[in-house]
Amino acid sequence: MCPSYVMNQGDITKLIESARDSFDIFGPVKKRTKHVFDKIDDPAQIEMDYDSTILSPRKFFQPPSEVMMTFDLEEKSVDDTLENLRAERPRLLLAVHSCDLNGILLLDKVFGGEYVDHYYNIRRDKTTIVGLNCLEPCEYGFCRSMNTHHVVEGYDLFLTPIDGDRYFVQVGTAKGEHLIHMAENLFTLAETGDVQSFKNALKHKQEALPHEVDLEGINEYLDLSFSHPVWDEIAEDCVNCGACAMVCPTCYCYDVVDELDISLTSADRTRKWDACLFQDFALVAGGHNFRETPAARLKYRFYHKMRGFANEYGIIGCTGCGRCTAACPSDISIKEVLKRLSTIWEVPVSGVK
Amino acid sequence: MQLQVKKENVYVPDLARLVSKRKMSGTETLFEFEFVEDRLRDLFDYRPGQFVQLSMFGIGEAPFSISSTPTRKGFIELGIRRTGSVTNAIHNLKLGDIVGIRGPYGNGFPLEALKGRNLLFVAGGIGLVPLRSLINYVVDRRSQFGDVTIFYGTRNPSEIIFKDELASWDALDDVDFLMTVDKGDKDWKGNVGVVTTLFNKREIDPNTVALVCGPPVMYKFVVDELLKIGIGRDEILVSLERRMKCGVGKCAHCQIGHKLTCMDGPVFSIFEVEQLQEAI
Amino acid sequence: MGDNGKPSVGIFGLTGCAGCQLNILNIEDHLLDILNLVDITTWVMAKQENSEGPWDVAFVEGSVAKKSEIERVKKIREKSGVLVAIGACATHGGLPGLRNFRDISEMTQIVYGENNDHIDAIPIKPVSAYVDVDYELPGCPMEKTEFLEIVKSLVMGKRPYSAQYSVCGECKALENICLLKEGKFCMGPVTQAGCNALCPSNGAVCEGCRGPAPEANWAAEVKILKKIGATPEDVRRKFLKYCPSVAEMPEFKELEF
Repeated sequence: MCPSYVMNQGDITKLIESARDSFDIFGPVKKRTKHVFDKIDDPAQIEMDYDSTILSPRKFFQPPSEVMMTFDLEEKSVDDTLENLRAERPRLLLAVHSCDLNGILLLDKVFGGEYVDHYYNIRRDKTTIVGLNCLEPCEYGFCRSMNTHHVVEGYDLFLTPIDGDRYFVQVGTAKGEHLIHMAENLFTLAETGDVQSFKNALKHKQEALPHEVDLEGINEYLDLSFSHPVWDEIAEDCVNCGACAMVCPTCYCYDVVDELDISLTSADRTRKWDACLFQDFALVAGGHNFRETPAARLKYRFYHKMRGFANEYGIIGCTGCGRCTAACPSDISIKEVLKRLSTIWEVPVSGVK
Repeated sequence: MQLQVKKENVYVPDLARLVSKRKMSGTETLFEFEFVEDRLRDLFDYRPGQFVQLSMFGIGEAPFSISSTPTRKGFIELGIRRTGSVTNAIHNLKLGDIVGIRGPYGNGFPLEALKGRNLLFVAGGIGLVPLRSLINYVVDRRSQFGDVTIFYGTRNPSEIIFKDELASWDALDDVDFLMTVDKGDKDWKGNVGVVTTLFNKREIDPNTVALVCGPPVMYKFVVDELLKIGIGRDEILVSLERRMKCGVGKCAHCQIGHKLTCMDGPVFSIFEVEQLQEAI
Repeated sequence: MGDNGKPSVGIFGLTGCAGCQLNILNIEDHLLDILNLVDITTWVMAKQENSEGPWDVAFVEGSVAKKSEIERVKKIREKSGVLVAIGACATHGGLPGLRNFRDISEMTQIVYGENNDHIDAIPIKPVSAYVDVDYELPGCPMEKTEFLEIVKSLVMGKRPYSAQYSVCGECKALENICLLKEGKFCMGPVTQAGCNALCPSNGAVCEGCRGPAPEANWAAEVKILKKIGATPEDVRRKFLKYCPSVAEMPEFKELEF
């Protein structure tokens, strides 16, 4: 077992200074009234005490748009961009909350598996992640309900605020240990009193984070409500803008387009974030749309997130981060939708339609 | 398990050359490709029912069922309808032109489970394209299977594809081939009526595996007939079509409920399809 | 085809500010590249000698605002293989359409005085009201990137890419703060994407200049705007400001403000 450490909260800026030569450093910074994960040029920019960010850390591993390969249309040759990715500077990503660490773990499953997506995995390997424990609830989150308020892995270092001015530091990986060596003077080995403070912090968290959504029976009520008109009612407010999918830490779907250069002699194959709420998401070349109505697409998003992930990966795809609720122009709350669905227990319509 | 061409970046296609093209109907053509690299020609193996992702560089990439059979090696045949940018560009290819191909992907038909069984193929329109792979596989390894019946229907005589091959299947003593058109023309002498009308013409053994592929509207009626015969829901296999971008379970475009058409399918049993609710 | 084997192109202006044509001229880095791909045989704004057609591709800017323009646009259509309407005026009527909300003879009199017999003004309509349009590049002004995309695509025989969603999709991917959430009357949720959320990215609300997104849920947008304090008249104006043609859509007529 790797030892745990403590550090002064104020020393996070010194950690940034020490790591600067080795990493491009990213963390939560202020954007008007909100926070975003952004590059930290001045250590003073970092805001450790943040509620949530507009986009999740997904953007670091699967950027909104990326060139996968370039075609030389005259030579008929293909060059992928993996070498460029490997050549990029390592990244240090600071202050990632538990919900988002769980989100990253889910993306790991999607982009790993039988066919490994190297674009994702190279970025993932090159990133050192310092997690940050939330001891207080945030405005829209419901991590405790989704069981994502704690983490077992996915971080290199994990910080828990203790005693008001220090962090209890857990080391998750050798990458984390390496970071500690980089700024050794900032860390001291945790002693019995520190562990006691750590325990108190976790106890405080347990009491502070509300349990708002009951997952009991979620698979069953989602299955049963599949053909229920409730989806049409929810869809009345949905502008199918896809904002919920863009901000979601576990939405990963993407579109692929070939972009020709102006001389028409080469083309980039680019992938960009897509959303299952968009009209043409399930449209096939012949013109048949397998999810024709906005209501069908809205339902699909909930169903896949809350039910489909469980079948595929053994866990629910929602981390309870609350970003979709925060982003929805119509204020559709994922918590409220789940609560509403959980009241519907009716015989489903079955058979081939 | 078939061999898969292993490479680092699964999204990068291998170069392939158009070797022949054969017009199948007004809008469909059968394209024959071979890999530029000799090594891949030997290595590329697949199961009937699998698909490849074909790249027209600068235009885009799209999934296509493999229409040839792995029992005849060295080339891949794809039956393609002109419907959009990619398929248009494919139709404009000249012999020798280079495209990109990656795959094969998907589960394909469960060959081991089909061995020794009676098979009923029901194809509607271009649904014959993926089924043709398995039909020719069965024809080439005829002794491994029980009774083989093929029902094929199209909207009208001009949409009939693989005409030469249909005649060759029809000529086989150990394959029962029947076809029909929804609406005949003045030269049409054969059956008229939707594909389900063929069920009146043959007595199908309930101990049969049915392999169904066609437009979404066809499934319900065909499945009703098959269930009436007493064929089990798990023994009615369909090949589904979906929009796909990656082919390898990442882009989520082909997701149906909790299944991915590209990884868990495209071949599903009707039992699975009914579980998925919005599948067809 | 032009004399040199390249597709021939005509660029035309109806009633509008000519800003979209100017936007083509502003693609300075790529103007020569464009000329490598196509032969612009007609473009009164930029050329001295102009052909009378036919053209493989015609780009038409501006709304149809005068009787004489109906004949003009029909003639362009007849002589063109592909017709592309560029800019909000051509695709949705554009800002000139504001005059549709007043009596036209009264307006004519205010602007041109008593001697206005030579003015053949008619209600503003987009190009598609009179002729078949193959592609539309909406926006005030039209996006340069979309213009380049369509030129490249037409030469390659490819369907040009067009986003099938609203401005919010792009806006969120850029990590902008939602202006609606700040109480500002933004049209992002119901407006066709493709501008890369230019206005919201710079702190200004989306004015809806690119017209309705596919399957735009107008009723929900009305509800959102009213919730943050917009009056029914505010909402109506928002919807019609750049896109008077929207008033003709059945979905719009059914809307309760």
